[in-house]
Amino acid sequence: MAMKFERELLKGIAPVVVLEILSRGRMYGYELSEAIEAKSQKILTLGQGTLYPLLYNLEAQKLVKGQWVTAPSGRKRRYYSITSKGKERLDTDKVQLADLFKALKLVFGSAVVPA
Amino acid sequence: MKDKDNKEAFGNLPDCVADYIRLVIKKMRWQRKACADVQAELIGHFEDALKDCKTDEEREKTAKKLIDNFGDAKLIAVLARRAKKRCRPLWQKILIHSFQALVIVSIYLSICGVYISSGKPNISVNYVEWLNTYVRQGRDESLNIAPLLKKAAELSIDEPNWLKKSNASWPGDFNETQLHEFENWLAQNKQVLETLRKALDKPYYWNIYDANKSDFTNMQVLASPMKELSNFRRLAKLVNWQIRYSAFKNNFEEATNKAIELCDLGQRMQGNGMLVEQLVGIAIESTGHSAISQMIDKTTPTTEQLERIQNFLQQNYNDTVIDISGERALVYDYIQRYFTDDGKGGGKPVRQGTGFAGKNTLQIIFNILTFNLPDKKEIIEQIDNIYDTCQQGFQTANLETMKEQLNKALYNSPMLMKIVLPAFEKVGELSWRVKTQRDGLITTLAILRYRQQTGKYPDSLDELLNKGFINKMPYDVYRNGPLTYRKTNNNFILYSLGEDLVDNGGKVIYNDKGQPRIWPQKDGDAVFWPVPHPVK
Repeated sequence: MAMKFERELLKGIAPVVVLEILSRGRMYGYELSEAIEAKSQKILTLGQGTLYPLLYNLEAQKLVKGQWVTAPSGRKRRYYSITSKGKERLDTDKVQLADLFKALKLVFGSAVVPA
Repeated sequence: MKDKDNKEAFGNLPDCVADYIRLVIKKMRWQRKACADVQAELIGHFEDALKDCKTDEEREKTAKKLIDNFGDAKLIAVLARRAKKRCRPLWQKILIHSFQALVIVSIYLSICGVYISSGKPNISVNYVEWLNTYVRQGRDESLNIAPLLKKAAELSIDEPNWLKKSNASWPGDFNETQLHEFENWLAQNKQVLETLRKALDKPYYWNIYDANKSDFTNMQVLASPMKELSNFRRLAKLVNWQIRYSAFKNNFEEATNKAIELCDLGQRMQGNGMLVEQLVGIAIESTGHSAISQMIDKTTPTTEQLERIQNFLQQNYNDTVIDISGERALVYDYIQRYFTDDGKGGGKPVRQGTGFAGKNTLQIIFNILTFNLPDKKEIIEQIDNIYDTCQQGFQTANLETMKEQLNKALYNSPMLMKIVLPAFEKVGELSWRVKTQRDGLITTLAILRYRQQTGKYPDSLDELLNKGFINKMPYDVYRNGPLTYRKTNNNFILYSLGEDLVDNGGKVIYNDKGQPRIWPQKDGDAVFWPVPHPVK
């Protein structure tokens, strides 16, 4: 089930999601957008257009690193991989997210989603 | 060719996708390389997304869906540009920000530059003409000394070089050859001295400034008088030597007449015209005093001769006050040339006029940068206030009070005036100094007369005054009280404390050439009697 989240709600989560996916291996843009959809069972769908600006921002912060790679077919793709700084940030963000979920559970009861 | 390359880059992608990507890149408006990277990435993305489509129709349908999913091309372009900007290395960011700051500052400064150079002054008054009318005071041209004085100065022949370098102050100090050359020099200048004699028959001195060069600010107006003033000083030197020579030849009458004339000329040049002319007047009067001192030191004048000189100096004792109206006119001219005119007497400074925009450089810069320049009316009011304060200061016999008043004016004045005002203080001091010197000479003459008549020197200056040998106590501007007088062994000493305001017991200070300094700056006094002699 694809779902459009409120932009502001997704704004803080999207970089963590991207970093988490990239922590499992380098990917190019399209591959990454597919992976996010697949891993979240199509619940999280980043607007594909906003994915690239997001990647450039992470690159500016030196959390990911982009590299052009030419495939045997001759097609050039820009692969993104997480940097050590990105990994550190991911660890911190994951701890914070865990705390956030805990807090949300406390507020909304056992189910995170309010009745 | 470029279009062809561009089409090839999009390969088999549907036109709608190519148009979409082109729009994103166009709206991105960023570095070519960054745009090319983004374009390549987007092309790759769409190619991957469409690779499984079997038919053109399916490709077209899926492409449109993808474009919808991508969102507004302009928004994507803006976000991509911002993100790519952040990717720049730090040095590039600093460089770019510095350049941007520089551009902003340059633009701001250019605006300030336009602000201080915009507007046109209105030159409505010929202040040189005004000054000519002011100094002439409605008198007939035939009463003016200046034309004949200029003629005499032009005719004068410079003193021989050896005399310029000589320490001698009296013709008796010359050797035979020198005396012969000296007499020749005086003879060559006979016509000059006769012209000067004729000039001094006229009662007033005023300069005539070239009104055609009406721009005071480029100083051309003063160039010609400056040259003439230098000739006047040379003329005064010639007369000074003529006086000494006449006295040396026992022609005391002629020497006295010429000395009186010299003092008279110096006095007439004060209190009128530009400051520099009045300064030369002070110097000429001082030369006259000095010549008389030498005469009475080197010869033995009779009581009548002494009385005649004293009477002249007392009767013509003219408390001339330095007049700075010429300088005021110069500043007014400056203001009319470097302030705009709003037709109501107001206006703002332009170009060099900004020198009036504050008390110091920092304040001027601040006022320019904040577009807070003073109004012409305000500046004229300030200038009038400053000049009135200075003029009042010149009338004050107490040097400290005068300096206080002038400093008060200086503190409140715009920066440009601060350049001029210290000169006023010095001129004020010099003006009072020559008066003290004159008092010293009058008192010396009176004491010598007293001695000739009573056979002794007076015990005090009070005694001299009480017995009618002088008509007022001689004033020492550096003491703000009477001159210092003491009887010594068969002689007396009379002096002013001088610039250091300290009584050094009448100590004379000599320069490197062994010449006595009349007004030493420190550690000595201005001694009027006994007349200080050069060190041989």
